[in-house]
Amino acid sequence: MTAETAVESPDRTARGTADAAQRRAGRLRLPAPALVAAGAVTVGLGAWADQWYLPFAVGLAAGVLTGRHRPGRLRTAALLVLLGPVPWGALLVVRALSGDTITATARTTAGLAGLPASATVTIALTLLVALLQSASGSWFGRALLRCFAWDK
Amino acid sequence: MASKVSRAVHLVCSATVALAVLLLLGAGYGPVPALGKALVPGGGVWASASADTTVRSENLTLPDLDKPVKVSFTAEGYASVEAQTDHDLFLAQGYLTARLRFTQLDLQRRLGQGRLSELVGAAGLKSDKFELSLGLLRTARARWAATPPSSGAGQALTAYASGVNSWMSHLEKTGQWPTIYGLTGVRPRAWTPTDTLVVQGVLTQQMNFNTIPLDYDLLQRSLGPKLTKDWFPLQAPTPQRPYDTGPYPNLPPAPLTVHNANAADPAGTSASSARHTVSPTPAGEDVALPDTVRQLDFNSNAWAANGPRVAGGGAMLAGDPHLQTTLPSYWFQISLRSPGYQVAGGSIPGVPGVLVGHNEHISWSLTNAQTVATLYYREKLSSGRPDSYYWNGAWRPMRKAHYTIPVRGGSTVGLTTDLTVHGPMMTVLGQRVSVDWMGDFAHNDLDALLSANRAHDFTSFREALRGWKAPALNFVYADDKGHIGTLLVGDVPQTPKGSQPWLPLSGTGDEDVIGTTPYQALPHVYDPPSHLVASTNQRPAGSDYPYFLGTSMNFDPGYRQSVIEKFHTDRGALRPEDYTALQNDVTDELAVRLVPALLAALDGTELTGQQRAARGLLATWNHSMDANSPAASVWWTFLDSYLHEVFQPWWDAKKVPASKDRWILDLDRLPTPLREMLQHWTLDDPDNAAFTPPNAAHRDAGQVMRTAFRAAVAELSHKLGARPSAWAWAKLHTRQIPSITGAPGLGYGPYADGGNPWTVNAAGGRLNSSYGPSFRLVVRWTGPGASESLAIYPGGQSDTPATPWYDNLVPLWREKKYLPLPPPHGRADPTAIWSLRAGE
Repeated sequence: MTAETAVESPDRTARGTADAAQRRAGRLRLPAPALVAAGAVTVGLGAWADQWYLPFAVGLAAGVLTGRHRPGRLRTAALLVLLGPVPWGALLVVRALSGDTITATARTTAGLAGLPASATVTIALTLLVALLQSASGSWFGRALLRCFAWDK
Repeated sequence: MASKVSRAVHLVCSATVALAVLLLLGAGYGPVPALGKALVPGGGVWASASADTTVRSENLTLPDLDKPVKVSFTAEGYASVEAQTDHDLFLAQGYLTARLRFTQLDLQRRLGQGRLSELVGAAGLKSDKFELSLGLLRTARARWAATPPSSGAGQALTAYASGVNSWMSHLEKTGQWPTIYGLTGVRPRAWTPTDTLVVQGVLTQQMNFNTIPLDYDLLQRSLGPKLTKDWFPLQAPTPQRPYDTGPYPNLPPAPLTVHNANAADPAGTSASSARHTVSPTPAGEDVALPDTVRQLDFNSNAWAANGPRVAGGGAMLAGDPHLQTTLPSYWFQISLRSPGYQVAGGSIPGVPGVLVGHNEHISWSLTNAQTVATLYYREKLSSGRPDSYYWNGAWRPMRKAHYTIPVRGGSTVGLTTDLTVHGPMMTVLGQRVSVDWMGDFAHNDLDALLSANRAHDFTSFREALRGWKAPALNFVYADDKGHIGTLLVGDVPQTPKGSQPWLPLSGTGDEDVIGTTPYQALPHVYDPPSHLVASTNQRPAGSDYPYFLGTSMNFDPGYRQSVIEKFHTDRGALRPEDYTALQNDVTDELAVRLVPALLAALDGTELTGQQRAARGLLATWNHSMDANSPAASVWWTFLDSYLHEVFQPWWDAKKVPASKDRWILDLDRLPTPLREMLQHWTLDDPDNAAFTPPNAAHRDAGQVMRTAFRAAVAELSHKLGARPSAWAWAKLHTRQIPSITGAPGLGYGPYADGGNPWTVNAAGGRLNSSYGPSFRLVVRWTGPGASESLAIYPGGQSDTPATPWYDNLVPLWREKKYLPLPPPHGRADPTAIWSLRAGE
């Protein structure tokens, strides 16, 4: 005797399986650390070469890459920091260690900008600019992916 | 479907945000610079961080040098230049000044050219409109056009510009622009000789552009002609202390030899040559000399003594010109040595040569003469004849000068200035007038200065300065043969007899300037029997001097003069340390005169315990405005209260428009003429009607003083506590040395200090002073060609806050310490040497 079994369409079955797998598995892995490092190095080298927009560009790429896998807010935030403020901050540290007057220049900049003449203000603003770029780039990248890749 | 809509919304939102972020960071918005470009760690503001701002020994190549040049520095930054040609000397001076003070150079020329807005945005517009209207740039161009390239000044200007541009080339190659350029993204243009002349014009306008005739007009309209004449007289009734006591020659005015670069040409202003007129120029917004460059308190000192007054004989000179104290300073210390020059002292960044200092044989310093230099004309206009004015019997078209002002982060602003034969039409203190300013004439003052740098005795010095026209200055002189002197140089305009140049004049032609005081008739003195010459911005000649010099609003009352003269009388032969002590003296001569009268007025009056204590402080006071003196606080607060008690009722009743010109009409600034009148009435006319307010019961000086004293004690008690002995002047009075950028945090102070606006160590302004001894110099001649000289100023040789030389001299200046001036004919002990040679 053969029992009748309700059979769904193969596509719906596959999608449902994948979604369920995601929900069961929870957070998926970040893109490979090598990719993150490559992104950070790109941003850092770009900053050295006076290319201010690279945190946005790399953030956009990261947004596309992570848009499908959805790593979660905390990991996303960490990623954006690694791709924006960290390389910019690291470059400032390297320059300071090599003898450049980073702190004094930061203080002067803050004063000239009408802000409290504190080095912390300018350095914080610098890191914020990088973060703003990586974040907005990432958001745009994800939105692009969801809009165009999803429809395929 | 809902999912598609959601994705589309996210895309649009994220794209919008991304675009906004990129635009904001890449192009900026309004006054906010492009922060992405400005803050990227490899460029922007950070580019200057890799600049080597520490001065160390180097071998450098500069194009345009003829022969090797040596530039050496002391540990504190005092610089010496040794060159084998005069051309190389000024080229090196330009390079050195640019390397240490580039931002200051650029800011000063932008200020004078009306291009501040290009760098700082809309905040600079008011200043730019003023400068373009007044015409420093037009004047500078006219001066350069009139300077023969082969002349001393022409060659110096060209070489200096070349030196500045050598440093600019380095900045362009390395990208290590100073921070302000990294922040704004603006790049300066190459330096030209016109730029130097603009910078010179900036200092000129600060020293002698004023609105005195318009202030008199406002006073006449409010107080009335009689009170204005009585309270702001042409000649103050108090004893003046001129350095030239006469007799005076009475010669015809000397004709003007060059034209006003900011006036329509009289020969070209006939009705037949009327140009096509555009729509009527609107009344124009009120323009005023920006407070940042306005000299608010005139209190320079310069004196010299010889013979028995100087230990060992010979002559000794002391000078401390008072300007706004800023970081960087207006001054840059330098010693210059070449075949044609051996001179050391204070230079003005942007200008070749030395302005105060000494050479191998002579020394000099200067004070602002404060003689009349700005005249205002009410043009006869007609609504039926737009853009025309009536002059010498005919209607004339106004000449128009058009400008466009670039504004960082904003739209370009257009400006049209109308010019008449008298000068530019401007709206000043609410009045539409044309401005005839002596600084607008295309004279060659630089040539005169360079000639003075090379003079060797009083005759050659005086002859060299014949060509100095603006600002009018008092030069004080001492030389290696033991001679001393003082002379006024510069154009002092004269108008026809019967005219009143202290008020706005008629523009129809009958009150035009007819000439200037002839050079040989200008006040001067040489080797007086008193063995002392001194200038402290006082009226330089007596009341019988036959030329108009100015009114009581122009000149200092002579309090500092009295202190300086008494110092010389009370002591024997003096040494340099005596002069440094005198430069730091804070005796208030007005207090010397008035405190006894106050104490007498308080005699027999019922006083509270607190008031008795305050009175006791005054009774035992040495009249010195020391920082730790409580009596100084009592005196100052009393004087402020006394002046307000007398004049405020009149100001209120007559509606004197103090807000129109806070710096001359505001009682809070204790206007000089009113202080003098108060002194005069208190001592000589205690029943003067001024003590009785309008429609009030009669009062005399004693009554008002008692009222003011009680009010002062109450005020101090409220501010500083109940114990008068704790009312140290330092709790009220501070000094500050702000950054020229206006950036708080990049200046010095404020810090508690002594002095007031009329002590020798002056602290101009109100209770927080940023005007004072901007440079101090003492030169003692010990024999032919032999001198010892000391100098200090509150600042540092560099304008970069990150360097040790930004403000390293301030503590020394505060502690009344001086540094030896590197001699022009020898070497100091250098800690760094630049060896410059020709090359790319």
